[in-house]
Amino acid sequence: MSASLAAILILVLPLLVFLLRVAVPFARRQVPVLASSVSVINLVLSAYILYEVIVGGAVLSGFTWLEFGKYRLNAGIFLDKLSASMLLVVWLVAAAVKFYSFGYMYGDRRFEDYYALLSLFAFSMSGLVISLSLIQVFIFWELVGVCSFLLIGFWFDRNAASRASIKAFIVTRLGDVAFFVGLLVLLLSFDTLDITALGHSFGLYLPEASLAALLIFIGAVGKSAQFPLHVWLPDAMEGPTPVSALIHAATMVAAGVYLIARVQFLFVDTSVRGIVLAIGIVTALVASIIAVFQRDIKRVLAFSTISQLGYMMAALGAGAFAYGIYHLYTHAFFKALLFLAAGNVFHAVHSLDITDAGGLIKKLKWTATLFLIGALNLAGFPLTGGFFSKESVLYGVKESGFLWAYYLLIAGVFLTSFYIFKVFFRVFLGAPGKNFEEAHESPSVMIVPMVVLALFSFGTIFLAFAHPLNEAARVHFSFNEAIPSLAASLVGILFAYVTYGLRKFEFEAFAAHAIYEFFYNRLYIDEFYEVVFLGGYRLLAKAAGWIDRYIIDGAVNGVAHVSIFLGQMVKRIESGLVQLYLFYTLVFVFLLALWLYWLGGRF
Amino acid sequence: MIELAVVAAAFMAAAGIYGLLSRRNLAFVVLSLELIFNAGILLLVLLLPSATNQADTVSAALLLLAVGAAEVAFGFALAVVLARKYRTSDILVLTQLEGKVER
Repeated sequence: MSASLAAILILVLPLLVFLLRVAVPFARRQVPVLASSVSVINLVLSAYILYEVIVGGAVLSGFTWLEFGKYRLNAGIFLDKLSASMLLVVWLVAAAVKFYSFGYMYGDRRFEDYYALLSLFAFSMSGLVISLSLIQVFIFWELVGVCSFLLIGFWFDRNAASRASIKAFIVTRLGDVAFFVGLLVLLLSFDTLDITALGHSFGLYLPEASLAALLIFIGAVGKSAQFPLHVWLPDAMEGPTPVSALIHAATMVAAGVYLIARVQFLFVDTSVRGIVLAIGIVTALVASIIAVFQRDIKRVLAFSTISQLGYMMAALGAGAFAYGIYHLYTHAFFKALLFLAAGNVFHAVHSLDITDAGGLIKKLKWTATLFLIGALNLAGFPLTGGFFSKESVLYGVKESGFLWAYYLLIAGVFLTSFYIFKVFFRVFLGAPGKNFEEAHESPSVMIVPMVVLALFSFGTIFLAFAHPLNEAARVHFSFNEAIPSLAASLVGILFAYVTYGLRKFEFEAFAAHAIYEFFYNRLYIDEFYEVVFLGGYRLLAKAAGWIDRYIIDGAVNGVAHVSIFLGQMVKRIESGLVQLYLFYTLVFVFLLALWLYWLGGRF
Repeated sequence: MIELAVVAAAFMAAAGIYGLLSRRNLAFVVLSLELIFNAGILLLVLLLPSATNQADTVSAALLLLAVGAAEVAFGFALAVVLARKYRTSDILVLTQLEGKVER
């Protein structure tokens, strides 16, 4: 079997599962099992593709899809080391999440729909990863956006969920518009949208290429929840927790990072790269500061995801594309793991507020261990995958010469290890909290996928020494280089142990304080958008409504009123007196005669 | 001489029109109509011979006189029937054909 055939199978199988749910009513019961088996098959297929690509080199196959003028849009499959390894990551997390959901979502009213939507998402995400041309990427990009919308609003009978899904859809759409304009710029200046053809075209140093790069980056900012457009991701936590793990931690939000790495040849201009770096740093820092003050476990993880995506963006901005992608892979595993562990906590105590929980390590041994593994990865503890990838990112940023960026990211490392261990110590250690007595460990169908993810989060260490993306991307740092960030990370853990592990100094004691409120309410960025953009929009709508009501409707009604008035006037002539009618006739005949006479005089 | 006759015809028509517009009695309205009609015939008899054959003119005038007589007979008969039925000849009272229109 050739690699391209395997790739087509990977696309077709999950789509078939989705169509089965949509089109065949009696096959409803089989959907979850089919979706899970498809994910295992696709996992094997994507591993096979990666092997083929590493052994045999990149695979390109496609056809001309649209032809207009001198432009030709192709569609097809592009498998190189980057896309094949990303595909494997997607299907690993997707398979783990699908098995986990058997436990987590079981008994839900729309259990089968849930699996159908997950399959559609996995299809779209695979399509995005292995697309040949950027227009194809854009289509799948929108499809994953739709899946994200549908899955955030999966429990749409809850008002918060439906609002969050709409918010996510609209905010990411802002970036997508810029992405699409970027594609048009590329098409007009390079006559093609094929990724490989663009990579080999001349003139990548031209301002057009940089403009397109910037516009595509704005698209990635929307999708990857970078700083000004990050507001949708915390709200997206209203969806089911496994969805957060798959879409809003591991795969879809990383699509922006993946896209930038995919079109890295456009980012030759250092000023464009500087913008990417700056946005990444700001996002990484701001999100980790906000995460420190959040009380809901999933919100902490959401801001952590935003922050880690900021690290990836920073690596891309520094030109260390392979390092950014490396961090994407490790992050996909350990963040999905952390989310699933949070799901277990919710499963056990029916609350995600860290002030409600406590001492859960006695009841949830597996969950606590797995959460600890995820947390150590996130904090960059030595000998975890997270350690190597984070050090790679920091090394890449330092090597690019932006020392200020490097130090800011070190500060971010401290905050990261603090907030995640704050959650760990608060939830799993100490005195028992709410619902402690009824808490019980999740079934093994939920634990085993998490164990697999934990193993893979260690497995990514391997990538540090044999990076599949390119030879030059091997990790270069020595352990001396890692000392500052390692120190920051350990100090963060220690600080979290003192404040939350020993319950000496909990931030929540200052809940009423204005500064705490400022950070807890996410710097009031959402409220700012609410007032400025939604308020402005409402003002505009009001103005348009006024114009519609009083000027357009006024004109229409005015015509009617004038007609009625004229009718009332003219009605009086029609008195029904035949003699009067005759008189009118006579008058007009007389006038006609005068007119004819006057005409006759003219000639 | 012929101009005097045309002026007389014009006077006849004017008197007929005045009667038609001002009289309220149906019998006088029919009478006025006949006056206008006869003014027309008078003009025909006076002016056509200069253009066409005289015999044609005379026969046409006789035909028109017969039509006018028939019309008058009908008109008066109607007026008499209405007067008998509604006990009035006032055309402002006889407004059944006008229909019920709100004013």
